[in-house]
This record gives sequence, C-alpha cells and structure tokens, in this order.
Amino acid sequence: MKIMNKKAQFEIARKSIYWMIAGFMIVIIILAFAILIADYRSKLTRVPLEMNAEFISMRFTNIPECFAYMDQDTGRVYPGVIEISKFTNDQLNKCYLTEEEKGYKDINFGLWLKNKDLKINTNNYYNVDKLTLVKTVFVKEGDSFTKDQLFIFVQEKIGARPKK
Amino acid sequence: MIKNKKIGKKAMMDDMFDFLFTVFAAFFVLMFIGTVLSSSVNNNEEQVLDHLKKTQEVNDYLVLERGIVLKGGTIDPNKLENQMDYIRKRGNPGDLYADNPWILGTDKSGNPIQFE
Repeated sequence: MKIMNKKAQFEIARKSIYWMIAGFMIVIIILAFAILIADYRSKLTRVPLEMNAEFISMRFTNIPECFAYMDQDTGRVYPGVIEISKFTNDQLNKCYLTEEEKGYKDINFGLWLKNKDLKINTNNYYNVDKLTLVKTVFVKEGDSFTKDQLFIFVQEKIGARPKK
Repeated sequence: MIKNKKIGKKAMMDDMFDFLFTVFAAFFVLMFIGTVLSSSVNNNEEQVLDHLKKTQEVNDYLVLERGIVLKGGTIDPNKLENQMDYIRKRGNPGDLYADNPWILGTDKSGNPIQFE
C-alpha cells in the first residue's frame, strides 16, 4: 500500500511536470499557427505597390483634369499626350492632392519629363522613392508633338514627415 | 525500490521523447503549411506584376502608334495587324520599350537604375 502510494505520487508529479512543459509548447504552437494564418490572410489581400502606383498614376497621362491634352473644339481627349502648359504643380494639386497633415502616409509622386527636364511633385513628396514607373508619352507644345519619357517616382507611406 | 526508480527513469525518458517528437512534428508541419501558403501567394503576385508589365508595354506601344498619327503620318494597317498578332501571342510588344518598367531610380544623366 505504501509502495503503491509512492508510485501514484510519482506518477502525478511526473504528469504534472510533463503537462506544464507540454502545455507551454502547445500554446506556442497554437500562437505560431495563428500568426501563420494571419500572415497568409494579409498576404492574400495585399495589393502590390507596383499595381497601386500604376493604377493611381494612370490619371497623369490619361485624363484632362491632369495633364492629358484635350482638343477644346471637339472635346476629344488624347491619352498619352501631355499638354506642356498643364505640367505644373498647381495642375498636379488639382489632379492628385494628399491631406496636408497626414498626407505623407499616402502614396506620393514626383513626375519628371526627361527631355524637357521638368520636375513637379505632389504636396507630400520627400524624395523617398520606392520605385519608378516609366511611361512613353508625347508632349504637346504649341502645335508640335515631341516624344518624351515620363518618369514617375513613387513614394510609399513613410513613417514620419522628414525635416525640410 | 531500485526497480521503481528504474521504471520512473524509463517513464520520464518516454515522456521526454514523446514531447520532443510532438514539438518537432508540429514545427515541420507549420513550416510546410507556411511554405505552401506563401508560395501560392507569391506566384499570384508574380503573375499580377507580369500582366501589369505587359499592359504597360502595350500601352507604350499604342502611345507610339498614336504619335505617328499625331505627327501627320499614317499607320500601315498590315504592320499594325502583324504587331497586334505578335502581342496577342506573346502578351507584349516585345522589345519595343522598357524591359522592366519598375526601376529603382535614375542616374544623373537620366538613365534608369535597375533593381539588383
């Protein structure tokens, strides 16, 4: 009876220690699994920056509210043709404007027309480029059309507003 | 008493190996699930970027073609048809413009700097 009691006590103690350690590990495994699923879900719904930037920047060359040339007589818009007189910061602010205070958390753009060497920026662009899109465009200046390249420097959300 | 001690030691070793086996098995299962899930997502993302790149190239091609008309020229319908066939088959207009529209930036002379 005495031996049995000791054996039972030992078994209880052994199992307690085992489950204490195993329980800890099981919790870690469940947490790891939860993190894995959460990470998968966020990856599944993530929109690549390239796609986001491409879709937003389509406006610069394709709509008359930005820089696209519109024939005033016919009202026809020429996508891919930039009217040089519109290529100003004022026009850019009418076409894409981020919030003054927290706008650095949005996507911002720096636009550079290579051959004309003209550069304009959105209101919260601080030269923190993540990638650059290159588009072939035509520039309308007066009655002439010249081929050019539009470099769109893309700045993603930044942690804090850099000091000027 | 000695016999009991031996049983106790054996039982503890059994427990320890059970435990280690469970931990290793869980670790490898999690690693496997993680790899399978993330590789499927990465493949999708690569495909999206590939389509986007091709769309950008086709867009550049159309702008160039439009440029011919803007400058008072005419487009050769046969050439255009051939080019469109090529685009339909390949998905992009070939080496017309920019191997990779996403570049890191430009150097002082305006040449693109590619991602490494």
